[in-house]
Amino acid sequence: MLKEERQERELVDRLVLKEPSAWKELYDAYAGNLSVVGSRYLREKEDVRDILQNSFIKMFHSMASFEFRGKGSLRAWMTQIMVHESLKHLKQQAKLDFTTDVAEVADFVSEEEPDLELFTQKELLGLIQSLPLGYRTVFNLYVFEQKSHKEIAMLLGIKESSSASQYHRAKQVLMDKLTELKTLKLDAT
Amino acid sequence: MNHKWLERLRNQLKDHEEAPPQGLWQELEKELFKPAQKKGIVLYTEQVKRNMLLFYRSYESRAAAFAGLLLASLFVWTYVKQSNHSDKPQVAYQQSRGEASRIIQAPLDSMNVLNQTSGRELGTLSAMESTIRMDSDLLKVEAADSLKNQQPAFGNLKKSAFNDRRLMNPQVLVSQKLGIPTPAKLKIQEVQAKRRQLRSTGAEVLRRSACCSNINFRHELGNSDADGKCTSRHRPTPGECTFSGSC
Repeated sequence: MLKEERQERELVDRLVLKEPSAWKELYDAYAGNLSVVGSRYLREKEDVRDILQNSFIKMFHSMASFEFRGKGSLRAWMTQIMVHESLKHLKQQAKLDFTTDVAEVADFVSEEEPDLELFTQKELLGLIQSLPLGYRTVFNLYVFEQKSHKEIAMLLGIKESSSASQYHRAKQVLMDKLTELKTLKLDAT
Repeated sequence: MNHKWLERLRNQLKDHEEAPPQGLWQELEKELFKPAQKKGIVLYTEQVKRNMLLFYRSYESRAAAFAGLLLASLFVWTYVKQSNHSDKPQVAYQQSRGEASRIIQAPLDSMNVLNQTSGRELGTLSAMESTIRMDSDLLKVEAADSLKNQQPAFGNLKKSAFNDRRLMNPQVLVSQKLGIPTPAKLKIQEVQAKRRQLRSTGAEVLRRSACCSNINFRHELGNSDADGKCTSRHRPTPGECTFSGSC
């Protein structure tokens, strides 16, 4: 554990010095995971690619401001940048719409909690990506980035109550999709 | 859907990875590292710094610095010398317990400065100036007497005095040769009487004037005894003027 932390700190030191080998190491270590982070927000692969590129450029130029706070802090910092860039992209594209699909999903009520062991990571990611954009964005921010509704409201420029309702509906849709997929899997077996 | 289920969902996707977009690193490498080389600003700056460092360390730079220093010194020396030669140097002695102790050349024009700065004391100063002249003569006489006592033969004096640059003033030698008769004593009495008179009227002015008159010794400012003689003294650098304040 300490060794890993020391290695991460050393990597950070080299990154600050802008050593190309260190940045290649960082890319190899985290680009895959950051791609997943981007894919949670953006469906298009090209968009994910652009966001990932912008994020690395931003990291490169603001590395000196990064403060190492133990193991995992680097990854958290990078993820934060990736999420921020994704949201910026969505805002620029004016893709965020928090009024759509509300009526459509209002009737979905599922109290069942599907066993997540039945699903692969790719399947889970696919289901999240299939959520309407507004739901998906709020759901990702609340569940994966662990933001409060107040923070989400500030980030997206919406009301706090709107964020809560979006999240509520997002999880209803997701539960329904998971249940549906589970049924399909059970039928297949 | 409780929080534990959501946490499990989060943890399940936490380590999920996808293959990063192909060719992205090559693009990033170009974007992040090549621009710095293309711009060349950093490298140029480093090169310039390196060249400057090499120049500082080189013999040429040292020679240039030394030449500059030499020129500056020459200029200062010339300036000081000119300022000394522009004034008429006066040589005087001060007798200290029977010994002709020191002799220092210095411009008496500093008295003029004093006159300019204190216009209200003009009358007193003009009287004082004459006193100073007499005082200066008196000192010469006293010094010559002293030399005469110590050096009975002119030849001996010649040997020792001529080796000493301070005794090369012809006035001193003439006084020595002539033996300076009793009129000097008369002058002493006359000067002392004037001193007493001035002391009674304005001790402060006298003290200052005495201090300033004894420029042979270039006294430090503000140090003078009750008789108006400066108590501390130091050898001034050529051209130095210490008569800017109260003495």
